[in-house]
Amino acid sequence: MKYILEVKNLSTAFKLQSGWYRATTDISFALRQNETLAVVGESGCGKSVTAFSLMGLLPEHGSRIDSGSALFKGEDLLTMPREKLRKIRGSAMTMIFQEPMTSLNPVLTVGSQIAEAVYYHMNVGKAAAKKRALELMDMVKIPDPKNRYNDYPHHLSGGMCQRIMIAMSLACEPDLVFADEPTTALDVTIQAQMIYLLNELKEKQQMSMVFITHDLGVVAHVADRVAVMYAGTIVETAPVADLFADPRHPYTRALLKSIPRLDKDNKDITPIQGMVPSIDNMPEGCRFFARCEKKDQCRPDEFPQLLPLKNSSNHQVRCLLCE
Amino acid sequence: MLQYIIKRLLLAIPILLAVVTLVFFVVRMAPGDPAQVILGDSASYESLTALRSELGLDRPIIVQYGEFLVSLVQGDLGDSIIRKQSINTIIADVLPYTVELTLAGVLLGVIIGLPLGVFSAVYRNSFWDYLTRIGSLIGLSFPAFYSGILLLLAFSVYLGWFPVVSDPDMGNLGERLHMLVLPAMNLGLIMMAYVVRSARSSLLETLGEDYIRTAKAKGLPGFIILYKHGLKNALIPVITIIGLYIGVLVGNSVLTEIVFNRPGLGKLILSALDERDYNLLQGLMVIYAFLIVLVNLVTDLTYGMVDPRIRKQ
Repeated sequence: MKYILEVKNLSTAFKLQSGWYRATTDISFALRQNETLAVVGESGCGKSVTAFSLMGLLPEHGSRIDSGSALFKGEDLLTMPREKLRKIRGSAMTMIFQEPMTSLNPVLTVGSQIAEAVYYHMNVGKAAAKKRALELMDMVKIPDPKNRYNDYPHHLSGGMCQRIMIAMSLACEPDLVFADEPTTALDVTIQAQMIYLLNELKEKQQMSMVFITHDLGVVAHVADRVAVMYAGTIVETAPVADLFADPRHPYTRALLKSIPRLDKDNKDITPIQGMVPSIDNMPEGCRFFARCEKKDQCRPDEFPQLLPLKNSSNHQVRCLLCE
Repeated sequence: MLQYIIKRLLLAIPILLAVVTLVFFVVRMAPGDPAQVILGDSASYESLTALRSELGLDRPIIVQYGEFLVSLVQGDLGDSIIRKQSINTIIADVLPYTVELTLAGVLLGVIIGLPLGVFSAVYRNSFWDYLTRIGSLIGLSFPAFYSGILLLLAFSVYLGWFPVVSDPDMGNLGERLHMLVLPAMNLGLIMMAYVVRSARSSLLETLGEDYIRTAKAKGLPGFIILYKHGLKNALIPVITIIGLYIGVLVGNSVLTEIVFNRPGLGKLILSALDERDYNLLQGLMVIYAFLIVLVNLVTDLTYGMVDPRIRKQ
């Protein structure tokens, strides 16, 4: 089976005052056409950093990619010339951001911001770009696109702005979309609309998606596969049904147990004890060790590898006890 | 838009009134007597009294103030005590020189300062960035009268490229521009320093915004990101700074005109002070206040043109 995106051993480091520290370590995953991978984890676990590394959007100063490869349709995103990456970015590989209100340029009309993506990638004139932008606005269900075209972002609601962002990211019919918590900043009712819209458009355009979120509730609706991240590493990855039915990593289990549910009395809800280790103070061995329920049966000195389970090769876990 | 302009102009009336009132009374509080200045120290008491009554200085100060306001509303700044001429005419004669000097200074400052600021931001923390920033700091620190003298020494006395004493009444347009270069540069250096600093910091802040990341994620070429997405947003605070410092520049134009011996409002204000010409001084203050209010209005309107969030309010 051919993969759209194949990431192997990606590590990204940031410069702090006392030196370089890895924000993500040994990230590996693969994505098929029309597949959605949900990347789940708490704030600061390296979800966005992974996406930014692949998109080439890391800050120019104070960040670097330490190791790894990322084959996008067979070509390595991490080593290709910047100009080539720029041409892929925004056309074949695009990104939707968390804050739709601040992610749109306040002094340009929303329509022109969509048309721009078409104009610079598809080799068409301004008029054709505008026509395509209007089509896209209609596709993401913005009412009355002709009149909205010349609106500025501050005229639109957060949900409408996110529709504009989605239209922008779909402008050149991408093969891969990174959606970086696209619903986090929106009202709950709008979140549902947005997820429905994204799913529908994904099916229509046969594209792959990396859906970054900290909301396990959303995952079940959008994802084919899930990768759970903790402190800069992927600790467990599995098809979505398997993960919910049979979570193996103690962190995944703890995470699922900590979700409050409306249909239960929530007496058995348990928060995870302790704190995430900070980037400049990562333990040598398992990064979840200090917080793990089963640490008495385990040892802290060995860094576990992400390995498939014996009975299911599709389900991989980074845990010494699960091997 | 028209409504907004009218509203702003109406708002300017109380400001102008306050300035005019302040100037009227402060000028009269200063020691010295115009009649004495005109007639000299040896004048007799009788002749002084006669002149005072002729000039209307013997009437109660409130009456003088009232008359001044009445004629001001009619657009008449009154007559100069010393020069026996309509102040409107005196000011109209020299106003173009000051306006031309200030505009040239602003233009020079913006044309040179803006690209330097952008350059400094794009190559931040490089050698050239530090050089530009140190240069602008020096520009900020020099008082206009001192930098003016240095410019005269360097370019007129030693190099001989420009005349030491300007005389804008003589010569054709080319000569007039030639004489404008040094004084305009003197003002432009100050403006440039402000523009460089504000453009640099504003652009740096803008380049860190989320929408710049979006523009990058869209795969736009670098110069489109910088100019279309970055600079247009970064300009908004810079325009405010430019507007604010045109006021400062008007003040510095007084010093520049004196150093370069150019005719203009600045030189006029100096002689009006010397001669205790109350009316002329008042008139000049009204004009200055009006110019500042006008500049602020133009700044606000420009602001609205660049930033759609302000336009629609």
